[in-house]
Amino acid sequence: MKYIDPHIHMVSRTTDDYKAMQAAGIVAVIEPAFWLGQPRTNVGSFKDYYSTLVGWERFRASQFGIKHYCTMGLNSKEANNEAMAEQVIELLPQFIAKEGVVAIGEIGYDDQTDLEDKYFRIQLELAKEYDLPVLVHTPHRDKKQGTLRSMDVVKEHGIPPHLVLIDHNNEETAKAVLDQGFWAGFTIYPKTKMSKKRMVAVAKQYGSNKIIVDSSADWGVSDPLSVPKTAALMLENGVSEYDVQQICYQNALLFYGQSGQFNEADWTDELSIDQADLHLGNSILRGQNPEKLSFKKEK
Amino acid sequence: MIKLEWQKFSALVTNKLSEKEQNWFAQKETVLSTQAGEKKFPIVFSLVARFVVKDVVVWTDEELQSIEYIYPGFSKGIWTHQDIVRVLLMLVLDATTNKAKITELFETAEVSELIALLKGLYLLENAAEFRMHYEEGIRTNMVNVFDAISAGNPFAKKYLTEASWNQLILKILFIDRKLYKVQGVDEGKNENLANMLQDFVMERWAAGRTVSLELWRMLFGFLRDDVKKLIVNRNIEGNEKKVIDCVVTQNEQLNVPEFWDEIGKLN
Repeated sequence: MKYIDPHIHMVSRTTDDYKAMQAAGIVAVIEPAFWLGQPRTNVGSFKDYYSTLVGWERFRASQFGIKHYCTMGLNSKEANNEAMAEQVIELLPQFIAKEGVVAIGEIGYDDQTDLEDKYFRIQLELAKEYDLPVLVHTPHRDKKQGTLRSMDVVKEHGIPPHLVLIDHNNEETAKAVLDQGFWAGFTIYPKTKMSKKRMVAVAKQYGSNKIIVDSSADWGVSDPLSVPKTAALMLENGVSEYDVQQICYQNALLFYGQSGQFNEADWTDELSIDQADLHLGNSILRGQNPEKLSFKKEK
Repeated sequence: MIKLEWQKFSALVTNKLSEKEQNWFAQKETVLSTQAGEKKFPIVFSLVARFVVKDVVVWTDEELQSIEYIYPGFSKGIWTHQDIVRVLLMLVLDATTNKAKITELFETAEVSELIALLKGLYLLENAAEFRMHYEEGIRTNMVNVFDAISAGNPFAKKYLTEASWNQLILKILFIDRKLYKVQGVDEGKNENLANMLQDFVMERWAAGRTVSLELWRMLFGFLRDDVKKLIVNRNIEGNEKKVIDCVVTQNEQLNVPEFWDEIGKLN
C-alpha cells in the first residue's frame, strides 16, 4: 500500500527518516508552515523559512523519492507578536502563489487570544483570494471550545466546510467536525494527541469518510512512520482495506487536490533518482556509494 | 540585449507555446508594463506554475540555429514551457528598474523559479548587474539549480570574473556534472584553473579515488612536472589513457572540441 503523510515538518527530520519513510511506502508529504520551537523575532526569519519549504526541503525530499509539498501561513503562536505578524502577512502572498503550495495553514488558535483571532481571519480571507483550501490547527488546551470556535469563524467568513481540514482531533471533537461537513485530521503521536490504538476505534466508529491520519512529526517526540504504522494496526484489527486506503492516502489526495497543486501523477509516473547525479561534497550524499533507485510503487 | 534581438528571440520562443499560454502571457505582459503593475512581478512569476505546462519544448534544428545566434549554448540546455514564459516575463521589466524586482525574487524563489531566473539573466539588457546572483548560483547545493548555470548558459563565459569562472569549472568536476555542456569551455582555459585542477587530481589520487575524464580537457598546455611524474607511475588504461596521453603528448590533432565532447558523453 502507498501512503501520504499530509502533515509532517521535514525540516526537523533526518535523512534516515526520509529513507525509512520511503521504504514504508510514503510517496508524498505535505509540510505545513509552523513554528520552530524557538520563537522568531523578525520577518526575515520567516522569509528564509518559507523559502526553505519551497526550495531546499523540496529538493532534499526528491533525493529520497518522496514528493514534497507545503502549506503557507502564519502560525497561531507567533501571531501574538503583532509588529512581526503584520510584516509576515505582507510577505505571505508571494509564497502562497508558488508551485506546490497546496493550502493556507496551519492557522487557527493556540491560546485563543485576540491577536490569534485577528490573523486567523486575515488568512482565511487570503485563502479565499487565492482559491486554496485551509488547514486549521486546533489548540492543545481548551481543545473542544477552540475547535468549535474555529469552525464558527470559518463559516462566518463564508468558506465552505469541504475546503477546510480541521487537524489534531480526538474522540471529543471528531463528531462535531464531521457532522458539520469539515474534514477531520488525526495526529498520531507516540504519547500525546491520538494513539494508534485509539485511532483504530475511531475508524471503526466513523468509517473513512473525510477522515485523514497524519504524523505531525517535528522536533519533538513524534514518529515519521505514524501513518504506515497506524494503517498496519487498523488492518490487523479488522478495518477494511478500502477504509485504510481512504484514511491514509486517498482522502489527503482528495482534500489537497482541491488546490490544483497536488496530483497523483506527480508520483505515479515513474520517479527515478540517480543519486550518482548528485554525489559527493556538497549534495546530500557525503562520500557514500551513490545508488540508483527506482521508486515506482505497485498498489 | 538589443531591441531587435529581443524581438526575434521573443517571437521564436513564443511560437512554441500553446494558444492559451500565449494569451495568458500577453495579458500579464500588459499588466506588468505599467508602473503600478510592475509590483506584481513576483506573484505573476510564481503563478506561471498554474497556467503554463512544465513540458520540455522540442525544437527544430532551424529554430535552434536561430536561437543559438542570440543565446549561445541554448541547445545544450533543457527548456520547459514554464522556463520560456518566465524568461519572457523577466524581459518585460524595464531595465532601469528590473534590478530591485529580480533581486527580490531571487530571495524568495523556489527551485523551478531559480532555474528560470538563472537561465534568463543573460538576455537582460543590464545582465552584467546580476553577476552576484549568478555567483550565488555556483554555491547552491541543489543540483538542478546548478545545472541551470553550468549547462548551456552563456552568462558564465561572458560576465564572470576569472576567479568565479574557475570556481564554476572546479565545482562541475567536483560534483561530477558535465563539463562539455559549459558554453565556451575551451576559451575558458587558464593557468590558475589548470593549477587548481591539478592539485585536485593529486588530492583525489592520493585518496585512491578518480577524477572525471573531462578534467584533462582544461589541462592541455598547462601540465605540471609533478603531475607528469605521478602519471608515469600510475597504471592507466582505456579512455583514461586516451585523454591523459592526449594532454601529455600535446596531441593537437586529437585536442579538438569534438573529441572532448565525446569523452563527456561517456556514461
